[in-house]
Amino acid sequence: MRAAKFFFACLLGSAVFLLPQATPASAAEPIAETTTVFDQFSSAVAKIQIVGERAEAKASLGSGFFIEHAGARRHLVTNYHVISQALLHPETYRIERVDEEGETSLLKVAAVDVVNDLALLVGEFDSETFLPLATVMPAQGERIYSLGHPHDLGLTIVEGTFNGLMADDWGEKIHLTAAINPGMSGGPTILSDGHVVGINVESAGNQVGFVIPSSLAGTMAERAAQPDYVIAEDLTDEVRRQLLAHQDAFLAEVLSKDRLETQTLGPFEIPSDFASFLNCWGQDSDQDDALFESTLRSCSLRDSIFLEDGLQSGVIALEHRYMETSKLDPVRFYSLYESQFSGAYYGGYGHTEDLTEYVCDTAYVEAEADARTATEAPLVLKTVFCARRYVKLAELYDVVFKVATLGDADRGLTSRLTLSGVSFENGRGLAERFLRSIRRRAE
Amino acid sequence: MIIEIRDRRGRLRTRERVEALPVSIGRSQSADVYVDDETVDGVHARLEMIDADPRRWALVDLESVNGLRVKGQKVVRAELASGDEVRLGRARLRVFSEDHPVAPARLVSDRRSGAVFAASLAGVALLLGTSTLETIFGSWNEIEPAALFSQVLVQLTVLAGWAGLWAFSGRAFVGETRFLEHWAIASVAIAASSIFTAIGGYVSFISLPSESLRLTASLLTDGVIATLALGAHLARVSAMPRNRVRWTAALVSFGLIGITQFSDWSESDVFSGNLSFDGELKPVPVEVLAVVPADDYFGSLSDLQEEIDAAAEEAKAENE
Repeated sequence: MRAAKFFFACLLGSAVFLLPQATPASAAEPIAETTTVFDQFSSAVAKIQIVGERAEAKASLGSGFFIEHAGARRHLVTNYHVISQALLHPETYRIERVDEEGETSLLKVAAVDVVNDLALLVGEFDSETFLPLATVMPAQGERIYSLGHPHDLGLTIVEGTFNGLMADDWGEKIHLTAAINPGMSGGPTILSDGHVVGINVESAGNQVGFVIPSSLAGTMAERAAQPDYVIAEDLTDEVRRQLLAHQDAFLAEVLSKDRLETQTLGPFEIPSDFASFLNCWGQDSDQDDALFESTLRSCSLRDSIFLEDGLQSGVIALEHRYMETSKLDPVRFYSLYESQFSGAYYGGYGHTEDLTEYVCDTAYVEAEADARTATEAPLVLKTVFCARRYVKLAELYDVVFKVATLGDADRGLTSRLTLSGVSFENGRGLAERFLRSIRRRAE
Repeated sequence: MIIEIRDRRGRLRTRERVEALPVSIGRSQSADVYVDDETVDGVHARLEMIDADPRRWALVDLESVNGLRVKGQKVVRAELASGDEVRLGRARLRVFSEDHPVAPARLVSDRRSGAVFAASLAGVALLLGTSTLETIFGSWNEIEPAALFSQVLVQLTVLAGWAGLWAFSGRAFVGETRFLEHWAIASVAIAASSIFTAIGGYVSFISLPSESLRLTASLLTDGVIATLALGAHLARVSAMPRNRVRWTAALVSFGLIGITQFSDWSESDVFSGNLSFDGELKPVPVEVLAVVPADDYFGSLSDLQEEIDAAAEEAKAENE
C-alpha cells in the first residue's frame, strides 16, 4: 500500500503541472468565508478512533461526517481503510466516535464499499448538523473545503480548488489542490453551502489531494436505507463478495480471449502491455564489459484495493527478462539464468492468521504443441504456479506464476506474473493465457 | 609371572616380576607389590595360587575400603588367567604368565609414508580442482586470476587448520600425528560433497522430485560423506575398535544433521511468505525432460487449490 501511495503521489505530483493552476484568491475575502464555513459545518465532522480491546488505547485515527441522504439522518460516512482493522478483527478492535468534550460512543459498521474505500457507520449519536450530498459536480476552479482531524490536532479546515475528475484504474476520483493529511481520511470535502462533493482520502503531497466522489457514498447510503436492509453479522463476507465481483468485471475482457496481446522481446513474443490498465516500463543492461545482455520489460497496475495494513487486493504485476550471451559457455550462462529464476522472496509481510504459506506446482510444459510446425523446435518452459489463500476471505488468493524457456544454450526468457487478491479461477485463467501467449517469433 | 599396575587412565605405573606366590598388594611399605593410588588400602589384596597350580591364580580382597571389581562387578575373590584385569579402587591390576603372547612389531616403512604423501597431494589437487570449477561455472562475470588464487590460499589455510586439529588430537591420544592423512581425508570429503551437489542439481532438474524426496536425498548424501570422513579421522586419533569408530562417526554425523533439521522445523511456524519451489535451470536438451501439455498442467492445479484451501481452513479453525 505504501508503494501504491507513493506511486499515486508521483502520478498526481506530475499531473498537477499539466492542469491549470488555481488562481490564488485575494486574501481577505476567502478567509472570512472559510471562517463561516467552519463555524457552520464543523459540528457535522466526527472524529473516529479504532481502539484495541486489550491495550485500551487508540490504534488509529480518522474522520467521518454525518450524512443526510434522502431525508434520512442515521449514518456517519468514513473511509473503509479507517475502520478496516475493526471490521476484519472485531474481536480485537472496536470503533468509537470521540465528541467535542472527549466523550466516546461505540459505532458499528452498517455497510462497506471496499473498492471505493468507503464505509457507513451507525451508532447512538445526535448531531445538530448533517451534510447533504452535492448533486452536481462543481466547476473547475470552484472553491472547496476539506474538513477533518489531521494528526489528532483538532478539527481543521483546509481550503482548496476543485480541479476536476480523474479516472484511475478502479473508478473516478476528484482531484483538488488542498493538503489532506493523515487523520483527515474520511472527512468531507464540501462546497461553501455545505453540500458534500467528496470524501477525503489522503494527501499526495505538494498541496495535491484527492477525494472520492460523494455520489458513491450516496449509492452506499441508499443501499443501507432500504427497508429490508439487514446489517450483516460478519462484514468480511461482504468485503469478499465485493472484491470478487469487482475483479470479475475488471478481468472479464482480458479473460474473454484465449491469448493475450503480445509484443516482441528478443526472439520471443511476450504478453506485456495486454490491457489498458497496465503501465509498462523497459530497461536494457548497459554494462559494456558484461559477458551477457539482459533486457527487462515490466508492467503493473497503477492502484490496488486496500484491505488492511500489508494486505491489498487487485495487484497485477508482470515482468519479462530476456538474456542472451555470446561469451559465456552454457554452464555459466545457466548459472546466471538460474539465479534470475530461482528468487523465492515475495513478501514476508502478513501473518499465519491472515494468509497461508505459498504452495507451488512445478512442471515442464509445452504451451502450444498443436500450433507448432514439424520443423520448428518445441518451446518447453519450466513452469511454477504458486498460490496462497487469505484465511478469512475464502476464494481470494495471491498467485505468483513463473516460467523460464528451456533448450537454448545461449539465451533464455524468464517471465513472472504476480496477482494478489484474485479468485483461483481468475488466477489460473490469467496464468494460462500468459503462458500460451509466450512464443518463438516466426523467423 | 608378571604383575602390571596401571592408573585409571591406563598409564603404566608398576611392572613387577613375581617369583613366588602369595604376594600382598597395597599402598603400605610392607606390601610386596606397591600401588601408588589413594583409593587403594595399605594391604588391599592378596594374589595366591589355586590348588598349588603355578598357572592358576586368584586375587582375594582383604576387607579393603574400595574392594575388587572384575568387569564392573564387585567381587571378594577373583580367579584370573593370563591377561585378565582387576580393579583395586581406581587402579588396574593385570597378571600375565611369562609366555603371554605379544602382537608382532609394526613395520616402519618409507614406502607407506610416500603413498600417504601422494594421496594427500592428490586429495588437495581434487579439492582445488572442484572448487575452482565451481567458482568458474557458478559465476557469470569475468574471473580474476587473483581472486581464484586467493580462494585457493583460503582453502589451503582452512584445510591445514582442520587437519592440524586432528593431528594434534592424534598426538595427544595415540601418540601419532598423521597430519598428511587427515589433510587428504578432509580434502577428499569436501571435494566429494561439491561433486555430489553438482550431480544432484542435474538429477533433480531432470527428474523434478518432490520436496521431501529431494531433502532426504541431499541429507543422506551429506550424512554418508560426513560419516566416512569422520570415521577416517577418528580411526587415526583413537584406539577404538573399527566397528565402534564407524558407529560413533555415523551417530555424530547424522545427529548433527538431525539437530539442524530440528531447528529448521521448530521455526517453520513463523510466517515466511516465501515461495518454496525448485528454481534449478540446467543446459540439458529438452528431450530428456518429462514435458506435459499445458491443458494437463493447468487442469492439475485443482489439486493445488484443494491443498491450499485445506491449509487455510485449518488456520481458520486454529484462530477460532
